[in-house]
Amino acid sequence: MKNGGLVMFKEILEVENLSKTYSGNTKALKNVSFKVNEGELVSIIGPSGAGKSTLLRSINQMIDPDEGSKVYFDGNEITGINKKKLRDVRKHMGMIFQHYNLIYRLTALENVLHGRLGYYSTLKGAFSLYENKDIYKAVELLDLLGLKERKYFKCANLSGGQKQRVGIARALIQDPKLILCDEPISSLDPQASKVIMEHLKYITSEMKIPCLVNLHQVDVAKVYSDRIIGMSNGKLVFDGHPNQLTSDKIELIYGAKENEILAS
Amino acid sequence: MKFWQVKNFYEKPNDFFREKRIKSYIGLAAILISSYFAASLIGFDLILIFKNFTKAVNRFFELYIPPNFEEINNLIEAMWVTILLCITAGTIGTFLAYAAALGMSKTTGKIPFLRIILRALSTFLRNVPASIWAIVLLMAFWFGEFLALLVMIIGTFGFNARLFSDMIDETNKNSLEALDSVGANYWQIVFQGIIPETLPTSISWSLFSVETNIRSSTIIGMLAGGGIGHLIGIYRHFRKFDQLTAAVIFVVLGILAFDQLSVQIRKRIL
Repeated sequence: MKNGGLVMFKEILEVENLSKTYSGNTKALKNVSFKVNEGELVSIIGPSGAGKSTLLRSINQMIDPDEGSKVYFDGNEITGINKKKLRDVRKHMGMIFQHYNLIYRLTALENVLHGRLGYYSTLKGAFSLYENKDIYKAVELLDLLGLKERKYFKCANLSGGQKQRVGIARALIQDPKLILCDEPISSLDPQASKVIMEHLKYITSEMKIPCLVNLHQVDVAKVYSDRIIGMSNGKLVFDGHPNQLTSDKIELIYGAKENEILAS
Repeated sequence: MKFWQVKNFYEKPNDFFREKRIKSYIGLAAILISSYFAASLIGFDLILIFKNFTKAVNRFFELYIPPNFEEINNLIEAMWVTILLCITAGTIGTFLAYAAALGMSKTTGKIPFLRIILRALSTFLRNVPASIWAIVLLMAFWFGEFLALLVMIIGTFGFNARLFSDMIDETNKNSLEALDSVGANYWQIVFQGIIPETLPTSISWSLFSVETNIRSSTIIGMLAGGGIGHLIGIYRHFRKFDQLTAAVIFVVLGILAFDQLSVQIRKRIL
């Protein structure tokens, strides 16, 4: 009921009792539950090792969550589905990574088109037999993200900020219903970080694609998020509007006072 | 404290150097004594070699120098065949090795049983020397170019399969994770992720295996037939040592030329 309570946004993701135990009985996630609605930029904050990355990867099942965990995506349960159905789910879920995770020997354009692989047959995908409409869409997205002159550059030769924008284009070309961002600005300088966060904000508010973003910077989270989730030791300890994130809450998440945290 | 361990305290610093010197003398003496015993066991007479050294050198020059380029047409033809054989073997061997590496690597090999089989196969093929393969396979395949080709393919395969599987294991897992996250399937990840990331290195190694093949073509050709090695074998057999020298010069030139070519290719792809 946000945005003045006028529009009721659609629920895109629901996570229910999500737990993950790694071998050796390390509990990375303990019964985490939350929802993400259309048009929302939700940040997940918390100290290193709190389970932020595991949480994101459990959502698109790059990591298998424990039995009893439930994830609903666009109204359907996606936990425990078979490989083929999972591929269908993943093609509608974009992911952006801290280390960009591009194929550095290929050009920016080719890396963007990788976002469409889920839509192609094995043969067509393997041999880059992309449809013209996808190629033009990729060009359009690169132009939109300010990489007009860098389309045919090998990704190895791009700067960090440019690499991350290629990563964003790769996620957008998927026509995603949700974008997961795993510390998208942790390897970038402040200026490039700002550009990336502005793009994510634009994607959520204008393109109506919700983003779930792991962040290390509390101040960044406060500025850009519509909602903040706080994690500590695998547990969800805060879920609310940035205004509600008082110094008490920050102490609860980080185990230290706000002014003692350098990153904020 | 054992005598070979380094102490960390000395009364006088020069004791450190004295001790080190004594250890060196002991080591040197050990090497000389064991060499002497080994030599006397097999009846190796060092004195005789020194005494007859000039004689041997004279004989060498008499037999091999100057090179005789009388049959230059034959040499050129044989060298051409050798180069074609080496390139073909290098290419086929590299392709097979890449396919096997996909099955062998921890990243891409999905069937544990196949992984073990391929690993064992490549280790076996690699560790039996090419000359042994030539002798052994001679009984099953007829003497000639095809046998030489086969022996070189075996060598290239055994060496490259292991190398490529390590290379695939070393590709950036993060990049492959991203392809997985967009819903790409196994073969799409192989063709869009693993092959582009490993292609330049694979080409570089395949060039190196062609070079190795040219080098070993002399002995393989002599035993299995085909190319310049076969010619060298014939010259040796008929004691035409001056022509043999000419053939060896051709091999060296072939290696140098190919080396230059691969330097240029590597420069452009890496």
